[in-house]
Amino acid sequence: MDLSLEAPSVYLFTGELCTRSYKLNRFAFDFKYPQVRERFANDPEALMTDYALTDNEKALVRARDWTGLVAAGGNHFNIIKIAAAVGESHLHVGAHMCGANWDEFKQTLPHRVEIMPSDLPALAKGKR
Amino acid sequence: MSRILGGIGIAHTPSMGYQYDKGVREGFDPKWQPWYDGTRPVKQWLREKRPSHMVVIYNDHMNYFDLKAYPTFAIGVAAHFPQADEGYGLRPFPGVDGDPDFAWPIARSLVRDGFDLTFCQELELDHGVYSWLPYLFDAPWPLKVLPIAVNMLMHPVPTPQRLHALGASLRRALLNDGANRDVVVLATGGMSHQIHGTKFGLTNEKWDRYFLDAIEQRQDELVATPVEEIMQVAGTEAAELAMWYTMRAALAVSARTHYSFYTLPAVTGCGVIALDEPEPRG
Ligand SMILES: [Fe+2]
Repeated sequence: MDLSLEAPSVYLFTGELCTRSYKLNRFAFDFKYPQVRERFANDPEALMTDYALTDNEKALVRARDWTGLVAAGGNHFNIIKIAAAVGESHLHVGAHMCGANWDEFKQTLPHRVEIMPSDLPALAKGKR
Repeated sequence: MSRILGGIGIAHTPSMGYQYDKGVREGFDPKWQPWYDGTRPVKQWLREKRPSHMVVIYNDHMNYFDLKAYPTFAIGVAAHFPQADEGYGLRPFPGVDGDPDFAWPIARSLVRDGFDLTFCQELELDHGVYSWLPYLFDAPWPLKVLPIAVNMLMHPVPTPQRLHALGASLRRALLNDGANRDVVVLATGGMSHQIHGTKFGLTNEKWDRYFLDAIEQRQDELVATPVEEIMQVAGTEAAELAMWYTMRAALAVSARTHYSFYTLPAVTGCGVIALDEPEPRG
């Protein structure tokens, strides 16, 4: 397992990223409100336009591309709210993140490691 | 001055709450039974300590605070804190009561000490509080809660040193608040877990057990461990563990572990520790 804090292992949600993807995050956050979920079910395109999503963000939502949405700067706690609205749990999102088949993926959880911070220098050396 | 009775560190995760509700309805899932059983001694310890107030250091998960203005440190000064709806409806529990007369002297003292917290007249509590709450107390909740919310989602997040210093400030505030309360300090943060990226589902029992052991007497060693290293070996969301330092620093250095427990039911390490504050001398 790649332990680095770089994509695709990790999409660290930073303030800078949030500034760039603020509209997407505002959109996803608001899925906590039933009226927004209902509007999404009835007319997703109008809702996405109201929240001023970019064409790329709209395409990612249409494709249910959870990984793409997080890579585009969506905070995963926000993005899983959209997933939940279309009947997918955070574990389904996890399978998508790993490019795995859901039924196989859930059998493999959790992914156990036994590495301590003191092991990291040796691991980094081994990689080089 | 208020009396500090002890401290608790405990993991949280949405499934912990979901499994509680399901467990009391139809029996606990075999994977979650150990967590239910393992938290019984903490519930008993609290029953014996009889705290009147509990300071809770926790983080929200995009369930109450939105991104318009995101506080790094926030303190709930209201008389009541409802449960936050995370989008699946409310769980069958009442909100928790706060105590403004307790909260304000603490808030003032923290600001004077250099912690400029955002004052929240309204605050709803998500699974950061509600997932473990029913494991430790029966509703109606038998004590008042003072929530302190920490940004653990949008980097940069506070450093371990800063979270430790917050605990030391909290201790000074409690011991000089002019009040006469019996206080338990609780910090909550998921142990090893990561729920995004290709490291999704990563857990590290070895790290988690080390952490539970070291928090008692080797907190300096933990605080000196860069959060980036914890995120590498135990998953990015394990950064939340740094909030446990606030609880530990609010207790005496000589506080000792009364009980600790660990299990790994799903994709988040679930640990709990209860520390006894030594009796004041004289
Ligand atoms: Fe959390």
